[in-house]
Amino acid sequence: MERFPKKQAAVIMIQGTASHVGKSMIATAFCRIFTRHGYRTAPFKSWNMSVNTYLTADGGEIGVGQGQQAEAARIKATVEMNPLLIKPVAPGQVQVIVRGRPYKSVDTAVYAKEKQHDFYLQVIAESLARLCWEYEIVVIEGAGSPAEINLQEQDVANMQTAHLAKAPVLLVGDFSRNGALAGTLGTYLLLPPKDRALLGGFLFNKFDGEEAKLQLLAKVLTAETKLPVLGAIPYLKDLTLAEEDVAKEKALRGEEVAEKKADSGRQYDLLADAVEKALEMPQIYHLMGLAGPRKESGPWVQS
Amino acid sequence: MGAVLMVEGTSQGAGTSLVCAALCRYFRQAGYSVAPFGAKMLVKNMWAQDFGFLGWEQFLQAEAACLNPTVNLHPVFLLQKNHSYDLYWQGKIVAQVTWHEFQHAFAPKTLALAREALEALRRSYDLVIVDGGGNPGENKLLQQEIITLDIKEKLKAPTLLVADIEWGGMFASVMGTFALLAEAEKAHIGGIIVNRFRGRQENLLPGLEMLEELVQKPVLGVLGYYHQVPLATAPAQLAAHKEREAAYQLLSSALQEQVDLSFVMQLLT
Repeated sequence: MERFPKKQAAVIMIQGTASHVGKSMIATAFCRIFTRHGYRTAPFKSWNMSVNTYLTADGGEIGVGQGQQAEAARIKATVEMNPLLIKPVAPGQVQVIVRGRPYKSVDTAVYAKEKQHDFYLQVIAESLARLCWEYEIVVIEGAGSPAEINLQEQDVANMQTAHLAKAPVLLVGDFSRNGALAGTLGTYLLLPPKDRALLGGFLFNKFDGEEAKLQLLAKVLTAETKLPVLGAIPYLKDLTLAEEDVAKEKALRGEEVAEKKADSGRQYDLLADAVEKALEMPQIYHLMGLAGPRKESGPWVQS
Repeated sequence: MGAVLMVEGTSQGAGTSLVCAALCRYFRQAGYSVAPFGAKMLVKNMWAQDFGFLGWEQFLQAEAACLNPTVNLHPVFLLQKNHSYDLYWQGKIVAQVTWHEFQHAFAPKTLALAREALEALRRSYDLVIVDGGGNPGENKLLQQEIITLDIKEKLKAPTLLVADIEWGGMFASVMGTFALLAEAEKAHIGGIIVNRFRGRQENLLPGLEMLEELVQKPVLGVLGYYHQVPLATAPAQLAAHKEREAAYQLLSSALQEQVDLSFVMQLLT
């Protein structure tokens, strides 16, 4: 078993202080940004719990987020991009989907307690290795918070994946609810030193534009953690991407599909423009061990 | 003078308003005269009374405490507009201000009004439950929630920290909150109430024990998700009085079942 893949691609991982802080959106933006910069880029989320799924060209089922991220990266989605998908199918029941195919259905209590950790890590390592061979940059998304101290051993999605990939991690906090500093600092404090060592910096999402507030919070966070805040992304309300609905899309005629694709292409560009503008891209490239864009950067969408 | 219990959250929207309503009803049923007090500056929805306006949450908390809202329950607040705020003093709009203007020109009078109102309530009631907003660490750093900060500093009121677990990251938010507070400020926090938990408590318990060790404070209880309660909705969808009453009863029962209220009582004596 190849536990530690020989790294071919540069990698970066987005983790969050909680669910719904905007990890998926930021990973989607990263996929488009690096693609526009001339790098063959792929998304990866090792473990996903979602009812919203995406059908890959070969009929495999993955999380909708990775399907969209593949679109943003202008590549075909494959099952390697989300090799473990936990899909709630009925109250108290989940379906475990491994590399796009149903593996088993189990009671949630059973799933929480079962010891299949080594098997899951092997699946993750193999899928990641394949993407790292095929692509130049792999953008990895975590799940939930990496600091759930009651689940740290079971949590393969965050730091265990980061260690497998030797990925620098950007931790995203939600700026909008007056808890971003506590959330990011608390996450840092709860991580063991070997995990902290992977952190490359923080990002704030849903930034309200209050620069003075941002500066003050960033100053305290950096003083406490010795890590930089690499950007604050504003609310991107208008850029929410349509939930991918595979069944509906199949029902559309060819030209409608093309139109929808063109429209979502523009949405990915708008999103990438906004995120690229908000972030310290040179520092992020540096974390990834790359010099910078291969091509001149955006904005791609003229306003 | 009545006792004061402060309720703060790990973030805005962590559920302090709902916990305050539950506490109001519980203590009222336990035989105390109780008043809610809105210290949270920012209001999304307000409610008209004969004296003027007060925040929507304080209106419901007053109902839970079985009293008619008065101007003292929510003497000052800011209603967010697009790029500024409407400042309300004693139920009436007095100015349209930016945050900067508020802090520089209106904060002293605001504090004076808040102190007077709180003192008046303490003279009339056994217990005042203060909805303090969140997060205490960020509020201190940014000098936001000036009324909450003032009450904590002046009265050293015992405080409950409501920690929102709905989307995860709860342990980190509590850990980070304590890391941002000075020792004297931590000393006032009596305990933690976890809010909006959906899942099996047995899976959470080992984590809660670790958290208690880490921050040296007790977790006083874990509340579920009460999305059916009218506090979770906007005034336009105000439920019938009977339904609201049922909701306050539900919250009070949940509090009694899930939270160590004898410990809360000790904090107050």
